[in-house]
Amino acid sequence: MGLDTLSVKQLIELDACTRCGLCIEWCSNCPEIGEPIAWPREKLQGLKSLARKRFGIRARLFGRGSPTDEALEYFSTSIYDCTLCARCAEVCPVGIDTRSLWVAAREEMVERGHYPKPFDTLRETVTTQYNISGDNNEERLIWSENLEAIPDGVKGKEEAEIVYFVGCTPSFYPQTYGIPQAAVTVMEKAELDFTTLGAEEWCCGYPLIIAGMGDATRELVEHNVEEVRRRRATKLVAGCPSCYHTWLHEYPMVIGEPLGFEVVHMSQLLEQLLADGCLKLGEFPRSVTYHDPCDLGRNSGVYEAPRNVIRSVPGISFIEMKESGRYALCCGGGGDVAMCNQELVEAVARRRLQQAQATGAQALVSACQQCKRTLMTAARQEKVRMRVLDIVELVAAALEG
Amino acid sequence: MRIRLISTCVVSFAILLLLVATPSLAQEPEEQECWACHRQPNLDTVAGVEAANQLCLDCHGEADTFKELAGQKVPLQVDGATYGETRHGHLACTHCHNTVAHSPHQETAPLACGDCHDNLAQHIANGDAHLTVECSACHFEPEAVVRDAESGVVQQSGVDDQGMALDRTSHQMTEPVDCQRCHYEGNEVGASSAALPPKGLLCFACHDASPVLYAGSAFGAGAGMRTDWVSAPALLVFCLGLVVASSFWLKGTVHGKAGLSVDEKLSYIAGDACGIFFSRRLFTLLKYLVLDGILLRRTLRESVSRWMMHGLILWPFLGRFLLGVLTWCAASFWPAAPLTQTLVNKNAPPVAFTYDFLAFLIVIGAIWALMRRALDSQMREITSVGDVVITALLGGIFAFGFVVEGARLIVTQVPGAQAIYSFAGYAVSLVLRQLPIDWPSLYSYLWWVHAALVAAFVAYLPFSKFFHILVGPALATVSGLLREKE
Repeated sequence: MGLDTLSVKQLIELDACTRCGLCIEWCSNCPEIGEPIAWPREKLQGLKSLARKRFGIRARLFGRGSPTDEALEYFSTSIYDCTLCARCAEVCPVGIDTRSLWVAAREEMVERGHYPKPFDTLRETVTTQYNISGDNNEERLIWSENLEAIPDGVKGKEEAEIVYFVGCTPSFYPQTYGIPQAAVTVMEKAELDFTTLGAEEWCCGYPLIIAGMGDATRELVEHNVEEVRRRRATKLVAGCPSCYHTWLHEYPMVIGEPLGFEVVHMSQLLEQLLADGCLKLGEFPRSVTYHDPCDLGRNSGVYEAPRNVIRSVPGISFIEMKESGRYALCCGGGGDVAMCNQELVEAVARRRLQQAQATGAQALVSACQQCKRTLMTAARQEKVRMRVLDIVELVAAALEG
Repeated sequence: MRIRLISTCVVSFAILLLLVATPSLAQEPEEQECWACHRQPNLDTVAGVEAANQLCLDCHGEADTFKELAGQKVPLQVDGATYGETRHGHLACTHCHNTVAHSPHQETAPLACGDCHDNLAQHIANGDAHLTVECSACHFEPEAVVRDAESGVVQQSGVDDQGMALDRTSHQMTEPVDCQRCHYEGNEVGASSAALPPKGLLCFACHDASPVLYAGSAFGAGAGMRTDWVSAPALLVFCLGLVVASSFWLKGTVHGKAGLSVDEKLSYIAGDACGIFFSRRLFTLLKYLVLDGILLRRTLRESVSRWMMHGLILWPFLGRFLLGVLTWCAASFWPAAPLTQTLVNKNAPPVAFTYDFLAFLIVIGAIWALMRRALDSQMREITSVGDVVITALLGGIFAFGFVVEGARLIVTQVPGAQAIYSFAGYAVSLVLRQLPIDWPSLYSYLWWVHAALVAAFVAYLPFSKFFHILVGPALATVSGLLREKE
């Protein structure tokens, strides 16, 4: 983990940085912090310095250098005050994949013992309770108790074509219960053969991976893959972009083989269902804007599916924000920043909310429960009368009948 | 009766003779080759050469064969036996003096060395085509040379520095060539006081030069094998920098596999590279190389101004480099082609203008970059000592480049009507002319400073911020390729 797992390409990236500063201009967090500590360019130079001390010619001739504890603490703060939104990677003129470097830097900090202590609790909770909240994992379907009629798929099937991977946040945080509720309603309406994993759904491991503790996730990964395979599913639908990204990109690497089933995000499933005419939508005469979740957009390349879904809703008026798509500002809720710097999360969320307000839209639609939770909180704190919806909630609200 | 017949014949012959002779009497004598009257020998045979040369030596073998020059008798006697011992002794006189075997008997063009010696490329490989210098000015004795006032061509002189007529009939070659024949202090042929080494491998980046570090040379006291002592040390340090950087990079994992040896990593990388080069992905690679590596598409997406600034530096550099490569290829493979003759002539209007225009664009780009850095507070640039050093080196290269060009135009006495196509250098030369400086003496020092700055820049490049000039486009290309694969 950490520096030892940096690839040849990543080490070249450290040398390729031109220090042009474009990443600073686009960093989601930098305007809120205002100090060089948060600048991506400085983080990259810090990581380069660490790598040089281990692999550089001087280290090989005269032995590895060791940074002071103060330097490591400074670097740790800079590296964990990052939402991993990857806007810096998107605008980098030479295409440095900064996000993977930040994760590697966090891994290195974990190895050296310089990381925020709440992450110890996170690791303990996720690896023992199998969710991020520390609740009893048997209560994973608590969100379904408010449904008028609980679909068979929610109760759990032995086998199903689709496994709906709910995610920890909407399973345990009431603010987002509406997302899985809407998801199963829509899938039931479309007469899909789906199931949840119930208590056998364990945290996908994403929070630990981005904390730099990816080595603690193997058990979670193997368990989840085994549960989906046991149900002979051909498709896994993730409601959470972070789960989707982890299933799609991390899981095959961890288990060392292809998953054997398709992984899609809920927005992609909705797009397909609407295109196939499986869902009939009624009028929804509202103006909405769309916030791209970082793990769905920049980190997974899914930009059009949610937009196509919104445009499919009759009567809706869709307005893009000033910074959207590849350039979308983060909601502030990514990168586990909430565990160590809640103020930063709120500040970034406020800015994103202001951008949404500037469109004059009545509702802010996203496709991520964490984005919804963060932006809803910001709207409440700022007393902004703007409804925050997940994409599947929008579709459920527009369903005819 | 018999007398009448004879009279009639004589009169008829006289009339016929008159009819035939009248036109030639009324006009100047026609230009005719000697062989129109004399039997043309087969010059591909030894006997033919001897026969042809004997015709010339019938006159030129005599001691009283001379021509008038500056009121003096210049001997034109050639010792056939001595000539036969020279390098060209097996050739007919007319092989080289190919405009002299005519009537009127006068040489109207320089020796036809180029008919046999397609060695323009070799001259360029040795640094300079010396396009305005006749071959004989360097390669034949005697050593007195003069610059023709009308054509500007440097050629052998008929008189020595005392004004005494010179015997130019020895046909002995000067081996090795003595550059000091022209390159000495106070020379009047427009040569720098000191002979300069050929432009070498480093110069290849911006000039038509020789891409070799070690090559044969027929020039100067050090004739024989020569080493490019400007490029070699700089490239040695540059390569050392690449090795240091590569050794750092190769500590990374390949294909997610840790614990591989360096040769195993290189093997994987080579395998991947082959997989790309020998598949359709090569075109994808080229697409990203052109779009992201050269046309800077990613930069354009974020900022037009930043893109323009980078483009003004990168593209003219590439342009000059490609022009240099084209010139070298043309000189190597088609030395006699008219295009080659134009390309190797740094004073030829299209060449002079193109090189100057591209350099001018680079300067504009560099000034733009400095102004952005100074004025745009949003950039939050950080400037280390190393950044200042490498930037100063680059600035010095261009500043001295223009000064060297201006000084060259002065020293080589390029006429204004021609020099103006090198507009930047010409403008500098107009300023330099006003200074009370012995430019032929100073020129070589300016040249050396320019070359030393380039050498220092190249040597420092892998250790500086400007390393991104090489790594950036390569990474942008690979990143694009990997994204497409995903």
